[in-house]
Amino acid sequence: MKKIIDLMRVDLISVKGGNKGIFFLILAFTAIFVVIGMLSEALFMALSIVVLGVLLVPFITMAEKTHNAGKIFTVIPTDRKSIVISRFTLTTVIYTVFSVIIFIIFHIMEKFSDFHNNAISKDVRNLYETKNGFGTGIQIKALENSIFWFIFAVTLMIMAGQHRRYFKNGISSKKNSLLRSFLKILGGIALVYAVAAVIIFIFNIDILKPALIVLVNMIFALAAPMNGLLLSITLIFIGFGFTLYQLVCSVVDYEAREL
Amino acid sequence: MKRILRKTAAFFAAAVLTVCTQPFTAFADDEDDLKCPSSATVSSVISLLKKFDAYPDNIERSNKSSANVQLIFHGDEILYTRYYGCTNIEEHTLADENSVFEWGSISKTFVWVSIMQLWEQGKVDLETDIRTYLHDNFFEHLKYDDPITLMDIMNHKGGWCEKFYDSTSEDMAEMLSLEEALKNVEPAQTYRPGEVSSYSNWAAALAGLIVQRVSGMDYVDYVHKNIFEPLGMEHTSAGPDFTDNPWVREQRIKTICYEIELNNKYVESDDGLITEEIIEEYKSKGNCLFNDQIYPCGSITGTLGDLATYAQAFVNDDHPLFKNAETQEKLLSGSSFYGNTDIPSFSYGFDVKEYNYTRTFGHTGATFGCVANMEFDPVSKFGVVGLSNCRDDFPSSLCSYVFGRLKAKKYIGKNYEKFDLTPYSGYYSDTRTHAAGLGKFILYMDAFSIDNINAVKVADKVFLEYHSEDYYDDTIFGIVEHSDGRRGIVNSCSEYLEIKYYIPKLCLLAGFMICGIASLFILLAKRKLNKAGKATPLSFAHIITAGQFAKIVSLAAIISIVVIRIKGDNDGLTKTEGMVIGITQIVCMVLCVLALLASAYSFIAKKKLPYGKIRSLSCFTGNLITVSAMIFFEMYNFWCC
Repeated sequence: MKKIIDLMRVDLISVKGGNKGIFFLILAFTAIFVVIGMLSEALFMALSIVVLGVLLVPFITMAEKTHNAGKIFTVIPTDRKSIVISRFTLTTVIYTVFSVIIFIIFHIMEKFSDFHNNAISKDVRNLYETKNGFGTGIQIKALENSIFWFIFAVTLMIMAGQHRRYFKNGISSKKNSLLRSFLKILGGIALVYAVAAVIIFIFNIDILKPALIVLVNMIFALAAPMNGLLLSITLIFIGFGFTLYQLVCSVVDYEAREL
Repeated sequence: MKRILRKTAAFFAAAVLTVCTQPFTAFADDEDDLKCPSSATVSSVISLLKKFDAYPDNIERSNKSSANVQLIFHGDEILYTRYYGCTNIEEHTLADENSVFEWGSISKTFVWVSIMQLWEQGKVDLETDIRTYLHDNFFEHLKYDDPITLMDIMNHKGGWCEKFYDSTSEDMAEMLSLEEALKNVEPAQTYRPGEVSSYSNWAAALAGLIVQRVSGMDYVDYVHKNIFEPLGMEHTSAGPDFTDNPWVREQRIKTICYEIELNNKYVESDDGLITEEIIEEYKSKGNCLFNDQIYPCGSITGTLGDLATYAQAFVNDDHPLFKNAETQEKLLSGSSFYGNTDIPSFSYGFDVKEYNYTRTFGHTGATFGCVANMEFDPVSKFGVVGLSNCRDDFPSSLCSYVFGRLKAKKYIGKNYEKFDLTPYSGYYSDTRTHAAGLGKFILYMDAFSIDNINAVKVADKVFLEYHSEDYYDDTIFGIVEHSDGRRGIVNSCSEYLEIKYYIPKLCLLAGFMICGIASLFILLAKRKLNKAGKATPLSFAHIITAGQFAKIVSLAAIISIVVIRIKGDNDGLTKTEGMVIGITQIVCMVLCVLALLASAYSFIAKKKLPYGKIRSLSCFTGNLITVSAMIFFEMYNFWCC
């Protein structure tokens, strides 16, 4: 355990010598989304955790690119498994703690902000109020909580994917890798849409519709009780489960890699 | 198109609100003019409806829409008939007096009338155990020994939820007899008879079989002789294949059924502005013939005129369907009531609907392609009937003109008080949903909390679900307490039953799903480690891996149940599908039990492996959750569901 904590310290020290611009970029984006959330729909705050999550891994590995700090891991007396575990733990802990803080602020803003309840949330609220009654299980608060933790889980999975790419291939030597990682995410989303469109085109939407309804039914059943806590736990479990899987794969890939 | 729909809807809504919210005097031009229960005069209602029919957009739309035919009557007089839309949009066949539609569950009222006819002849007793009228050992899935009476069945309190298996038949020539068909799809008895209201098509068809056995006549022949013929209903069929009335068959085949699809389209206006609009499009579903083998629950098919004739019989003082006036009075006197009030929730198989100033009796109906509505007020003798060949277009719009609405302010008075639902707080689920066997998990997916429902007090344990928006009618509910301590919320013959310990049960279901997803990750990680030659397998690794595969397959199996049901318009699974899924689940459960034992052995074994104890423990927990969920939710039980 001490070894892993020490390795996390190494990472934090190397971050200090990294590019300050990215740090301020993360800070600025986070602040913008938090302010937007405070002024309009509190759920916008969830975008700040996306910004942090997506930029955190490139930010921590940036020193390796700018100052060749990666070499340090080849000289310190440690095994590669510990390096992988420490890196995963560091980013996951920072991201989780930050997300929990944002979640708390999100709930405080929901209760106390006079600015809250603007056009978007009012529309959503109206929709649910008019449909409120027997047979409608999900409430707006449950929906908001579930959306927040869904965003958390997806971002956590993206982070785990970034880690694995890093441990498998090393840091990209190309310039603008941050921009590239963003574009890759966008490309990934486009690819998912394209594949979905092809599947729908080939197999006919009528076959997919029931499967989608089942999925939505299950999600709504889990989201309804305890203000969405059950669905949130499920989503968090999926996020951490995927991270654990990527951790195992990263250990294997990193140990097999020529440094 | 959207603009047309908006205008029409706005006109229609305005018309309804105008008629139903005006005081008596607004329409009382003539003191002697007949008034509807809604307080509006008949002449004003008809004049308004005729204006609506003459609306140019409405006439244009009628040629492109599915049929929605409705009729208002008073006693034996037809006041207004509206034939709107097409029975075949593609061929522009407009609906008319010869158009036939399926009446769906209105058919059940024919069973109830038959039962009451036999009761007044002294051939059946409503309080005797129905096993008296059936073959020995007819039932195979009874859970309770308590007697089940015809009264229980009429109140949908026989204890059966909706059948799980499909009872339709593609080839009507090979269809089973009514008795065989009923035995083939007998659902599990999940509630104690006489306690919980649980709408059951199967139980209604069973009552049809009792009519057949007691009368000594085929059910279809009985209905013809004792209902159709006395009323002169020549354009109605009761048989599942229409062989009892070839004219109806011929007409029914001409009727195409539709569903409404909402599509986004870009429309260019006259000034060149392109806007996105939601367009309603009618998608043909073909003939959609009702081919259920347990036909008494929904096979009646006929014209609007015949449906009106049938409904008029119940407001006729000459009681043409019964020998004694008392029988008709009893039929419409209520058989179950909200709390301790005299407000009936259900009346010998007939739905009871509360309005501000009146109370109606009747039934609604829906088949694979048609929907139907029948409502009448035996006091004022007004009635409305409607039929449609589009399931998304329920033909009840005229009811609010005639009967008015149900709003707390008018029903209780302006000083209504809030009803505190806190003592009844909890999770409830519709009793019609499956509560046993393969589909039991669906009950837990459909449950909902009542914490956010606005309720106003009508009487002790009776409340109105209150809508602040003027557009929505309020709904009356009663609270009942059952012998097992569970509470139910009743509206008509529907009941929402409390689920005790819902959260832990839902957690178990969620745990089952999480285990299935986690197994996928574990198998992928194992594959990676195996490829790299770094796997350090636990004891009996192959069994543990098989258990992980089993969890994924089991999750896929329960998802497939819902997919099959939704794809087939909720007809249910075929027996073969149920058996395949059930056997798959049994195999999966055996593998999970073996994996559970293997992981327990790994945990106590002295073999030193990296993270061995944690891996064994997590594997043990995952298998334990999966097996527990499979047992609790009866995922293996394909024979009694």
